[in-house]
Amino acid sequence: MIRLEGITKRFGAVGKPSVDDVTIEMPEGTTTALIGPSGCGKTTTMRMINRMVEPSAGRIFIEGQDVTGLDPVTLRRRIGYVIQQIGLFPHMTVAENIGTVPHLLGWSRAKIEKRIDELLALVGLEPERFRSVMPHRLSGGQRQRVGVARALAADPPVMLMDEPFGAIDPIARERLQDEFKEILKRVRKTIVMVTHDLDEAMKMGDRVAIMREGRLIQYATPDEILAAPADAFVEAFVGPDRALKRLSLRGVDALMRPGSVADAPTIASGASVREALARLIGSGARSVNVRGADGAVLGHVTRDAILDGADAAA
Amino acid sequence: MSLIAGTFSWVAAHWDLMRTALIQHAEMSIWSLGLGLAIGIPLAISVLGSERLAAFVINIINMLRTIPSLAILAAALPLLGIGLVPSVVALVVLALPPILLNTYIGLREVDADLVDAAAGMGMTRGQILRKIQIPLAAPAIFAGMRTAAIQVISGATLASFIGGGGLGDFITSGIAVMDQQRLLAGAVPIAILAMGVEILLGFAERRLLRNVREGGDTR
Ligand SMILES: Nc1ncnc2c1ncn2[C@@H]1O[C@H](COP(=O)(O)OP(=O)(O)OP(=O)(O)O)[C@@H](O)[C@H]1O
Ligand SMILES: [Mg+2]
Repeated sequence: MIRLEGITKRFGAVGKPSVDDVTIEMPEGTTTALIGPSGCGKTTTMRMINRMVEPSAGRIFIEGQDVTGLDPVTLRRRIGYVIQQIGLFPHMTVAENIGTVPHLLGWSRAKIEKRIDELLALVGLEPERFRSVMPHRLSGGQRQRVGVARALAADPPVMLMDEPFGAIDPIARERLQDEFKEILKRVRKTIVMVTHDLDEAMKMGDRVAIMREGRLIQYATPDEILAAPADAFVEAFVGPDRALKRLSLRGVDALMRPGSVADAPTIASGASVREALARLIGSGARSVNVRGADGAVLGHVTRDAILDGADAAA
Repeated sequence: MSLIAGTFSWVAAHWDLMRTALIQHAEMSIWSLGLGLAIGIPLAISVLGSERLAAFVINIINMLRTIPSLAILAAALPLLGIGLVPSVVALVVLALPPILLNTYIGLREVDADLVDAAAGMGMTRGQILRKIQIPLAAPAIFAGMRTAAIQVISGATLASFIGGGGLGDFITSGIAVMDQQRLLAGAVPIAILAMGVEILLGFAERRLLRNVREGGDTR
């Protein structure tokens, strides 16, 4: 768990604070997406957690421990850190990059090697092939995987990620987001992820923290934020299509009824209600069949069910 | 007898003198380069934190660089007397600017994001310097060392004026007595020495820095 208590940061002696009295409690094992307009203080807020920036006021607790009293170096070795530019060390191999923190912590060589292979496999890179590759030979997506593997190396309870997909092209980004979501679910860390992409925040965050001019405006689940924006700023920020966005957060399976409908288009189980709606609009059909991973039809969803569901939720 | 053959026979006839001068020349150069590195690299590292301090130190070093070597030697004479010590002092002044400047720029140009990533992962200042900044600045540091080595070897010729010895002795005395063979016996070995060291260091650089460029274990 990470708790910020009245955190404020002023860079200059005068002027408005960059981060203004932010209080937030991020439950253990959840991902919090920090989002807001450029310059609103997302990165600064995140960097105060590992004391890369010292707060001007307020306190920060990680698992109940006040970090403002800890040695920053020791603290940082317990916190995974991924920056937008990834920051792989160009003169070290993939393995050496991943082994950085374990090495600093004085792990045995054998333990480090084992951990490196484990992590490469976790992020979907074949250990034999990638261990001794230099970073400049990797694609953007591969680099980001190595960056995440490196942050996970010493199994830190907390991970900080600043726009982890920022340097990745849009097509690869979506796939990487999906994969990372799976990986992060598996490792169960308390994660703070800075982003300025709303869809990314909604997709990756169990909770979303919306900031504006240094202040925390709303901290809630994506669905809560879309259903009930805290103020006009959040409402404008999430956009006029928030009802549609909510549909993309919901699985189609919840609205499913038994039985298959003849001549209806099909959609995979686990797809979002929004995708189902798109299929319905695209095909002109009144129902869509839901198919399981084995290809068998599990049931169907009707147009009315989707619209009624949207009504009920609004 | 041709000049070249004459020079060879002069060298053969004065082999002991020649060997002593060569050793003196090398000794002077090695001391000066070593001290230049020992002062220049830590100095560059210590001013890394403050741009104002760095500008101040670099300006002083650049000012020293504009003084002709011979003037430095002449200035060292009343202070330090004659011989090896004042010569080395003057040559260190010659070696310092390229070492300091290259090291400073090399270290400073290491990508700030890499330093940030390293600090964020829990490296101490010293570890960041040792594991990230110095390895990545190594090519620049090496380039500074090469320039300094050549300048020192050439500059050591002038040590002859203040009794520092070395191959420059043959040049000064060669000019004084208008003996071309003696003059060449000094000039040619200096040229060969300088070129040889340049080639050797270039070779060493490629060998040593392959790790940095290709990223072997630098820890
Ligand atoms: N080291 C610093 N010195 C002075 N001002 C800073 C520093 N770091 C950040 N700021 C200021 O603090 C404010 C918040 O910056 P921050 O980087 O946290 O914003 P951000 O929300 O991450 O923005 P972006 O989306 O553009 O990355 C900005 O006005 C920025 O100029
Ligand atoms: Mg930022």
